[in-house]
Amino acid sequence: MRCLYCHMKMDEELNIMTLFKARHPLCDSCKKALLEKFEGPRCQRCHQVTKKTIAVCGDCQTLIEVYPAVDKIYTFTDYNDAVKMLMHRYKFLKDYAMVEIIGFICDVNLSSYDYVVPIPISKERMRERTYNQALEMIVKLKAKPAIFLETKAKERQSEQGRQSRMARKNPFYLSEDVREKDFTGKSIIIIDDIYTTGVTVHQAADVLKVLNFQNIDVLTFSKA
Amino acid sequence: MIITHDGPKVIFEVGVVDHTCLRCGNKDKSLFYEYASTFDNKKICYCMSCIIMGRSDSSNPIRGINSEREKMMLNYHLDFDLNDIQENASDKIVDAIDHKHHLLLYAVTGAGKTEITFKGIQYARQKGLNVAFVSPRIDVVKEVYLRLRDAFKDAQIDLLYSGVKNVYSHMFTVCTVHQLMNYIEHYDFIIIDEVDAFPLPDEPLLMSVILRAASKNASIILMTATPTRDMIELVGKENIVTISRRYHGHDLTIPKNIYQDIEKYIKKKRAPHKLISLLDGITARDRKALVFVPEIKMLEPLKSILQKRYSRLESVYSGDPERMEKVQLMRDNQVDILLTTTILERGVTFLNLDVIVLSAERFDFAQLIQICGRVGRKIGDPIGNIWFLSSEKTYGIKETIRRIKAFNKGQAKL
Repeated sequence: MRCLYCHMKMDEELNIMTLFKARHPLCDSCKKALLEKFEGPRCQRCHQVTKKTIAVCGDCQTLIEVYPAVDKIYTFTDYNDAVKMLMHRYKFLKDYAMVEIIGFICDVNLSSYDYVVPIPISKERMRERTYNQALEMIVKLKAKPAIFLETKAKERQSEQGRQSRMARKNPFYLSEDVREKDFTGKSIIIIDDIYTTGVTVHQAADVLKVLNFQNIDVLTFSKA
Repeated sequence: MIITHDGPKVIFEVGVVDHTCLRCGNKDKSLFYEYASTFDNKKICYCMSCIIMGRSDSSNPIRGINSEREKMMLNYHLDFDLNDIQENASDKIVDAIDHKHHLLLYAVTGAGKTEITFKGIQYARQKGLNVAFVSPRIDVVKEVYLRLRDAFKDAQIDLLYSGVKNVYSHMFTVCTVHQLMNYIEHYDFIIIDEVDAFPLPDEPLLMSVILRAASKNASIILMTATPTRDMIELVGKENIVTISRRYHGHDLTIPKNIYQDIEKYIKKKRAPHKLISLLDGITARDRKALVFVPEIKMLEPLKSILQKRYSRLESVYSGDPERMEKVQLMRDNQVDILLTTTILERGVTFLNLDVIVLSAERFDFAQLIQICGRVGRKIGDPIGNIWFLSSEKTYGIKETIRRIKAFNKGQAKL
């Protein structure tokens, strides 16, 4: 058995305890590196490091003003060098095995949500990457992806600064099958790989809110 | 041919066939990953071993471009004249290019190996041959690149190692061995520096990567202070050039072996008194010490023991993000004692340096020879001191001392 991150062989002790456990995709030192947290107080809403512990940081306040639909935000890692490399491998080198690591680290049960929605990617991006990184995360987390959103946006978010991201017009729209529906009383969670400025997930929530969900939460693997 | 992801030519229909990667040669099943792709509507198997260079998989072709060759007149400049021994070795390299055979340059540490290759590089480029200077170690690649760039001022030199891709023409390249995976029968003159360095001996695949990157008539120059049987076999006994003397002409320092069971002291969190008296002596004489340990996990406990006595002390290992900075602190005389793993066994030079090897019984012969090679590299301080602290006098220790004594007598036995 090899660590999917560093590819080194792991000696796994086989005993009655480990025998029935799901296989472990990470060695201890890679796990430690990926989970290494930035130091300092944080915003209680988006979890970014702030000068002092604060319920809602300035960035969040701006987002809430423009896109008020997001309730809770969950994230599992800080965007440290090891995570950065993992993302590069997952999204640009097509190292699909990274999703096993993400699934292993995002130790959550999504069954309390009625719907789990991936941030969509454009057809072009799909041709390049051959998978939607957020949708594959959902599958790994043993939930059923609900394809409620679509996009035609071609530009890469990762190549843009905060200013242009904020100014960007909402690239998402509702899929045809859900446009006329009403989900009053239902809960939904939006899944994405990284939360950078937060604009992407907030724009997604802004499109979904017309369907009258009871709450719209967000889960990302990493927080930049 | 050169593998590039957007090249016009299909080199292989697919990258992976039956758990064999056609790009890197990986055949280890545990280094392939298979998953069901909804997009392609089939199972895809890809190679994890070379994923960092872009994915080689069972579904997509490996693309590339054809090799090109072009004559180029390159001038180089050296700050010093080669001595007769170096001059002779230089000519042997040119001769190997002419007669299209391989060569083993068996040279003591500090012999000035890199400079010996310059004439050969110039000659090869003049004949329109593609040249690659490679090493298994990134540190060595960076260092060699700087030296070549300084010497060949008007040349355009490609530099390739993980994450860095500075390509002009693929005709004069400095890179890690891994990067050669992208070349097939492309280079006509390949110099492998520190050929015994990790991970070459442990990864037989890398040797086949080198051989595939070499053209049919290529000459490969192996440079090492510790040749192995495989290397001798590859070049043939008649194609070995030996340099048993350092460029400055002084003897190599003979290590002294002292009995001390360091690990027992570390366990008890006590200061090993023989080590302390050596370090006291070194710092009192205003010299510096590199202290080698056999494993990373010894660094921290040892550091906390020694820091109480020596404030200007640091430790480094391969994954240390501040490695370069700490080495620089030692060069700048801000640090006197540097604790290190084998990561600094090659490629570093400090003035007024002494070396101590802890648990020397756990290092092998090739490592000990390299470590001893750190001392006395500069003309201003050509001798220095080396101490092995060991709990047992192993073959590696005895052979190292024997080999260094033989070198000093001008005998370089294989």
